[in-house]
Amino acid sequence: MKEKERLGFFLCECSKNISGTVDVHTIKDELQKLPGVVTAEVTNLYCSAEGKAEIIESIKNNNLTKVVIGGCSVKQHEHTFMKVLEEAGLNPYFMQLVNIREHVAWVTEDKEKATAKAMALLKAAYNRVQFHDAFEKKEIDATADVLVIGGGLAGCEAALNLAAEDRKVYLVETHPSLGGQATKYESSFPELECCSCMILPKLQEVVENPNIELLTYSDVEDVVGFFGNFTATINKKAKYVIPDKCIGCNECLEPCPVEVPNEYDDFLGKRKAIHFQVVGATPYIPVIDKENCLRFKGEDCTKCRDACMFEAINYDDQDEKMEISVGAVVLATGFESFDPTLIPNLNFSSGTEIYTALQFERLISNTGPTSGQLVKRDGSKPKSLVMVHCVGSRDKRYKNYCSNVCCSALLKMSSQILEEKMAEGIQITHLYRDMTIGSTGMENMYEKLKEEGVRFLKIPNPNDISLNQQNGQVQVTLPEKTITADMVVLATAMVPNKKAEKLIEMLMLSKDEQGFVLPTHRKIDAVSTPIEGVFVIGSANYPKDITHSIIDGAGAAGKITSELKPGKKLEVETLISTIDEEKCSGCKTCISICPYKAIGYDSEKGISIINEILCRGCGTCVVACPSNAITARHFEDITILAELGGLL
Amino acid sequence: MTETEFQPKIVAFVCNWCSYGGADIAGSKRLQVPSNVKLIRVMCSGRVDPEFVLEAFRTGADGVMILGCHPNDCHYIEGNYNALKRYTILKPLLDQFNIEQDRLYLDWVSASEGEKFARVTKEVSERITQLGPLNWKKVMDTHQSREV
Repeated sequence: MKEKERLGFFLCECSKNISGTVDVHTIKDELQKLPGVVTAEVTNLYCSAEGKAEIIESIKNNNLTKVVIGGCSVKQHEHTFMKVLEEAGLNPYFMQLVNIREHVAWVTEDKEKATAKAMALLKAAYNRVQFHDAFEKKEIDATADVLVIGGGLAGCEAALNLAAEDRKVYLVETHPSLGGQATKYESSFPELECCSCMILPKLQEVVENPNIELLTYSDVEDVVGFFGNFTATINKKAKYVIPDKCIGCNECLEPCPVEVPNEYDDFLGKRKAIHFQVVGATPYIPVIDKENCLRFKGEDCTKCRDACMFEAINYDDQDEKMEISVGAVVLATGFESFDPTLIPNLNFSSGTEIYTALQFERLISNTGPTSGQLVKRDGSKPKSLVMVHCVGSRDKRYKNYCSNVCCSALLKMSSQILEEKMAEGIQITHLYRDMTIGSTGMENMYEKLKEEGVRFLKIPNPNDISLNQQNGQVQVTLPEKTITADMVVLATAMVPNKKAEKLIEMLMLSKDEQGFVLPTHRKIDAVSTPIEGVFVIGSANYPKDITHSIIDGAGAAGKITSELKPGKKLEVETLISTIDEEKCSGCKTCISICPYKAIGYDSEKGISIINEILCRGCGTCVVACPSNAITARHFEDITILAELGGLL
Repeated sequence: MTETEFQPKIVAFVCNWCSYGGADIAGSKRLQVPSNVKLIRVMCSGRVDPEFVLEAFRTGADGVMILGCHPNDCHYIEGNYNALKRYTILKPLLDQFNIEQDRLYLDWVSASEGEKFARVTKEVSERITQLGPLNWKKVMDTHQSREV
């Protein structure tokens, strides 16, 4: 024992939980004999108010410098006893809690063996504590402002819950308007509630919120930094329309001579080069798409500007970069549709009567290419419709998961067609594997559809059917028969948004085997990520319906508001690793191994530098360092080896 | 002491988040764990320096265990993979010191796997009991004579 150290042992009986097997009194007498040990005490329950008071009194009366407690798991009471030391005026890290309950008394029948094992563990702690250093809690300045990437419903909900007088939210959306995929639906399941009526007021709230800086038609190009102190670079793409002047009168669209497939209708209809995302989009301001506009191909077309009564068109508009400081980042980049051409037997191609579910949503939507008229490409009304579930889902060859939403969406579309009498006498047939409809109210819809004559054919795997276009109809070949349909709808799997990949890499997030962002924990920490201050919500981390996307948004906002308070400093991890500048050779081995990208390189000094805020103290760099220049606080080599020595 | 009474000394390095918790669950369920297996808690299995393992053998351990989170479950994302890499390199090196490879054991024990913790500690303890004591002096003598 180091000189001047005055050590105290406190052995807990935990009623009979420990003392029933471990002879704490014999151990106490043994420990008392060790050099530097001022006191060794036994009590019934050190975690009780009386027990804690006894420790505090003993520390003060005996002028103890270090404390070893023989008791229960560190998971249960390490924190408790650290607070006890603080109350007694000692640094909380001057303590070692030895688990002689779960790891000894409860797993050892033989009393003699249990006592010997407890003794060895306590001696190891005796060796260890003399190397314990004092560590103080550290706080850093932080901004409480937040960057939300993705203006779908999850992102909007997060932004609305976060925005406050003292907290600014930057909401960045790559498309011209808010709402994401939900803006494509005419109605939602199970109530067939008008989707626009439901979501537009929420989106309008976002637009009008003075504490949300809405950056539509913008992309996040870079994010660097750490929890409390991120810096993001955003590119505001040129819209060529001045938002303050445009009133959304639509007059500019008609004159535009360019027509291209409309991505917002999943390429079902056409749009102009100057266009809105959808009719009634929020915000309702068009943009000129540079890829297709004739002016950007060298022609002197001014038709949209000529038509504008408000001088809102500005062909000289430029992309604009802005840099923002935020404390947290919320990733809400959503999903896209599985590409059905990957299943060759489905013969999917545009221009046929085979549609993806998202295309079909547009077809039966009032804001879609046929203004909600359910018609075939030749303009005739369909008499038969086949809806195929699980396309690309739940199949190892494609996507080996259930997309959660598709069964309900197909039932909803069927209800919509029948309720709104979109096609008199239409025969709807569902080809399904299992009906996966969890949401409240869906079971009633399913039963009602059956009563109304919708057929449900259970087949082994919908991905194995064959589709063939023939004379404007589709032959659907099933294992045992062939049916003919005027139209076929494929409920394609929801897959991660490919455009988010760069962001995921930039934010150093991990993906699961399907490409969805992995949260810290799928159940109990489902919107946090291992990168502190970065959150993932909505379908970016798993296929979700509107309800769960909104819940995610509110959930992430709750976490951020409780962790990042305006004007308050941020407490950071105390037990981190540190680099001895003298010993570091600048080989950068540690930089490559750190899972949190917490280590940077100081090229002037030629050494590695640990960012104290990003480091979580795992200590893997300590082992990797060939120069022994890195130390893990509280788990230094010397401390662990001292413990080892006491154990053997 | 007769051969059958030999009780090997075994040190188990356990990570704070999974395997320490697994050992706790073994306790809560009142399973039996060999009393000769003694735990050293580190924050991550990636913190276990191969030097700790060799030092354990040098100072009297007959066996060393490294227990961490399951693949993909590491609290620190990938520290357990680093532990696996180091273990894979270290294990064949033990032959060079005349230490049987079976004296070093790495496995994944989650914070709920009390049964697995009890099982692997028992298995390793039995295996090392069969191997008999590690006589470091003999090991070093053999090693040095080989070097010459």
